[in-house]
Amino acid sequence: MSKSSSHPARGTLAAYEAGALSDTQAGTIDEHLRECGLCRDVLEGIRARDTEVQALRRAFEESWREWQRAGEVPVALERGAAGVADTSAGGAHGVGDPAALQAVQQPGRPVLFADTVGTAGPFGTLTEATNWLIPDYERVQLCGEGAYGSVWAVRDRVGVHRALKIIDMGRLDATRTGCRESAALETYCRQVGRHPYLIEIFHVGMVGNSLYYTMELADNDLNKAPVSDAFPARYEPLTLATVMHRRRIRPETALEITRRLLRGLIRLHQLDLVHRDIKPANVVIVQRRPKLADIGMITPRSESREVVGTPRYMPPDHVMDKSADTYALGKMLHEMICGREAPVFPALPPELRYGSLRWDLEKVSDVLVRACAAEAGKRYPSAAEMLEDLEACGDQPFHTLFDDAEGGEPARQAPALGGPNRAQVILALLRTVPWVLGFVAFALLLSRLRAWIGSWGIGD
Amino acid sequence: MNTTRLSLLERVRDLDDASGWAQFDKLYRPLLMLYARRRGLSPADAEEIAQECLEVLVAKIQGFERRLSFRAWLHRIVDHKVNQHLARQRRALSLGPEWLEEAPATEPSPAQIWEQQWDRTHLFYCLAALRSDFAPHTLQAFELYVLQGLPVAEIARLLGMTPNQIYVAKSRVMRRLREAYRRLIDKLYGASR
Ligand SMILES: [Zn+2]
Repeated sequence: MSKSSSHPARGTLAAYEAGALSDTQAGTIDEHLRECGLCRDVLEGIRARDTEVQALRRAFEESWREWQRAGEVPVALERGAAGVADTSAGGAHGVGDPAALQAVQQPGRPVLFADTVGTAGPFGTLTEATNWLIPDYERVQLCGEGAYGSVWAVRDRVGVHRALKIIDMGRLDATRTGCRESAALETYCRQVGRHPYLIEIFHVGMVGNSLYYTMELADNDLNKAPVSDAFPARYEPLTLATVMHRRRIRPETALEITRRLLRGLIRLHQLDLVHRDIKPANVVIVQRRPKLADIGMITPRSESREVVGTPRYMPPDHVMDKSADTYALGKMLHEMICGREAPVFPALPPELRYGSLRWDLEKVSDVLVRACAAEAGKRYPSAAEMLEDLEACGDQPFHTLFDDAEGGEPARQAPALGGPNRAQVILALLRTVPWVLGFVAFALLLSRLRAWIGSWGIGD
Repeated sequence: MNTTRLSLLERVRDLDDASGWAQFDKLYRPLLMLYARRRGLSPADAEEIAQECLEVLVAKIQGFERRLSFRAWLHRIVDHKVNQHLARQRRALSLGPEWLEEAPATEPSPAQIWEQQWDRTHLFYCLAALRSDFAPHTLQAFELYVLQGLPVAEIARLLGMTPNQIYVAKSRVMRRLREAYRRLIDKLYGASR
């Protein structure tokens, strides 16, 4: 901050961002940026406002998701861009931090060019599955593939279907992610136990160089039903991402989903674990219940220093502690209610604030503002605090949409208006108008009928 | 309004022009698939739809009405197929739990989806072609900065580049991408577009 007098002018920074400065000029700014967070923020702001860049990024993110779900990359991209082939060019330039670069390429993350590390990118064929060595499980279908491994639907010896994730430790030279994942597994299985809103892991094993584990299988996206004894002819895992992809979710439902996920998250946070990769694709629907999945990033809080996660759901300050988890849940809740392209964030746009009778969306908006604050210190310290505030926004638990086996809560209650604000009362009254009119009409009809029956002289 | 000058299209009217058809296939098959996927079809179904549409194209390209743009014409074909399929599917599927069936979505219209997928397919076609034009780390910097949105400091650490080198790389690739896109569109549909 001592150099605050020597900040380059905005115009100069803009030229620098456009790559238009001479080497000497640019060199000075490079120097300055090392010291100056303010100017770094200005530059990030330029990127955030660059509509062309943002459109490209969104296009890539969305297309990527589609390619991945389609299980293949468009033919148009196969020339060289498909990753694996180009390892020769890759290893060559040898600067930077290949291991860290690899860590950027998490499963499910788009990678087009950043595939230099000699590992097969997600466009490659990591699990050609020429030989399937995992005992006791018969593979049924490949569900997803990432830079580090793949997820399969499998059938066990007694015919129960599970999801099975394989992590090929041999391919990760540094095994950084592999170690992280196995450490996470150990912590998770030993400490977390079963919870209705956390994915359950049944079995962890090792075959050759591959670590694998089985977990609950997501419901089928194509008919929205749990997978029963007979595996469906067509299956795709149902996650919150696939639900959100197609439709906006009613505020009541979105809040209910968030509440449930917060429950699961509280369990992790109580154990001082941080999930660090909460996003719609990592919320799977199992037996029609949302569950936090993909535990590969979970770490004890003290170790959660490196930046991992998915940029869209990461807090802008990249502080990946418990508050980053609640940030991600807040961001997801906002997206569920407002859609992905919402112009207002993190508050709810005014026109949406009266959309629910059961929840005070004004208050929900306040919760979102705190959950998604840009600075870690202003966010919820952990899930418990966020859930407490969120509960205070609703009148009572809303259970009618879910078949829920979770203990400790009354099963079903009639909706009641607790302390609704004026707009909500007016809205409620308006909603009763058709009923009142209907009733009056019915009463009139009834009296007519009586008069008519009376006219027969047998009414009494 | 005829927005398509039929340069590639003229070639594929000759059903024996194998290279024209190969190019055609390479560009439009993914587009058709992505569109079908985006409308909610499964991968296998989308593939089938793309195949059917291409067959229709082969059969009908000679009678292609010039008063429509090719873009609109292709959309009409694929849209018809997709709608047919969805209608069949709706009849066949049992409904799931209530909350998964919520209707009031801000889902873009089929026409918007088509426009978007059309643009993106062409864009990524160009993007893929850039690989041979730049050094790997230039493309990586571009990817991490633009497509993945990582903080510059992080990219600098990962790739061992200075921030300025990252910005320069980004700008060069962006410029080149814009050019390539313009050229592709010209080549396919003529400068009038
Ligand atoms: Zn400065």
